[in-house]
Amino acid sequence: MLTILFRTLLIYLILFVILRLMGKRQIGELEITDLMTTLLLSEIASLPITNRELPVSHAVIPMITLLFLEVSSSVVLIHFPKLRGLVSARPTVILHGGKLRVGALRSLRISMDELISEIRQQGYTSLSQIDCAILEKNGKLTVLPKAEYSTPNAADMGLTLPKTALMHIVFSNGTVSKEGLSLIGKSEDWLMRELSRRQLSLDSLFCVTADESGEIYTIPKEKSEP
Amino acid sequence: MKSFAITLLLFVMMVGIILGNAIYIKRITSSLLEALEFIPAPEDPACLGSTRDLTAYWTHHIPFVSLSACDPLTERISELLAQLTACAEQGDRYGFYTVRASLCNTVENLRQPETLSWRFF
Repeated sequence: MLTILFRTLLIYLILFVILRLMGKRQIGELEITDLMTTLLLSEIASLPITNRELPVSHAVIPMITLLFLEVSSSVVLIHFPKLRGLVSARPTVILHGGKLRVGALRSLRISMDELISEIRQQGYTSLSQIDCAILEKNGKLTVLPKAEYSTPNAADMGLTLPKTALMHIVFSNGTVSKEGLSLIGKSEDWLMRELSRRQLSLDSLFCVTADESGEIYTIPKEKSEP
Repeated sequence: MKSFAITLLLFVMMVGIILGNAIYIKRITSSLLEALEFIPAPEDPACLGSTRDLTAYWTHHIPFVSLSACDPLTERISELLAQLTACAEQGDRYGFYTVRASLCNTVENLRQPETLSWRFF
């Protein structure tokens, strides 16, 4: 067991260095530490299931060690933000003011084909339409078009749009959700009043959603449901 | 922070169990190796009793040892102890010492993962 503990620590360290050196292109939407834990956990968890000769402790020790490393690394990063640069990559500007930064592209090992493909996927046909392109630390490309190619929004057009409120589930599967009601700042009495005003009872409903403005949307039970 | 506290507690508990287990395995294997070193020769009438005592000692500890050791290793020790007893019963001197050497080697294999050594990295 002692050897397993130290082996897990060592493998975690090696995997961390390897993934960090691979750069953000390999990471996708996960942080390095998340990816490492996911990679290792999936393998470790299956070991004693498939191999009867191994005691369960041979999987439990690495799993707890990984959990500790994952949680403690996130706590350390919260308290020492300067260390974040060691663990996660920084966003890299690839294109700025319409000018391509070839050095940045080369250091990220991104080909022009890949860059153009990414830009196409974001709805632009040419690099000339782009003002700024940034490769985020999660490996995704953020593209900011030049002003003339930007989609105008309500503010640009001087329009005032009604505020969109977020709907929350306040009743579902026969249970009133106190959490949902508190999120919209309403009480259970309010819900009952609103339902009786609409001549509805909770028994006849499958789900009820509501927003802060008091807008209610009800889904009745299907007839076959008890 | 709550999840960190729970994780830290879990990790500390696990390290405690690991260290306890390491001490336990070291104690068991040291006792076995010591007993094997001073076991009487097969011609000695006390030899059979000693091998049976050794088997009883091992059988008593198998459930706890199995928590950290692989099955093939514990099964191999049980098998070799049975062979050692059989050799002692038959007075097979050559077989007895061959099995004893093999047993010492297997017990050593059981002990090594619980002692920090570069070999296991």
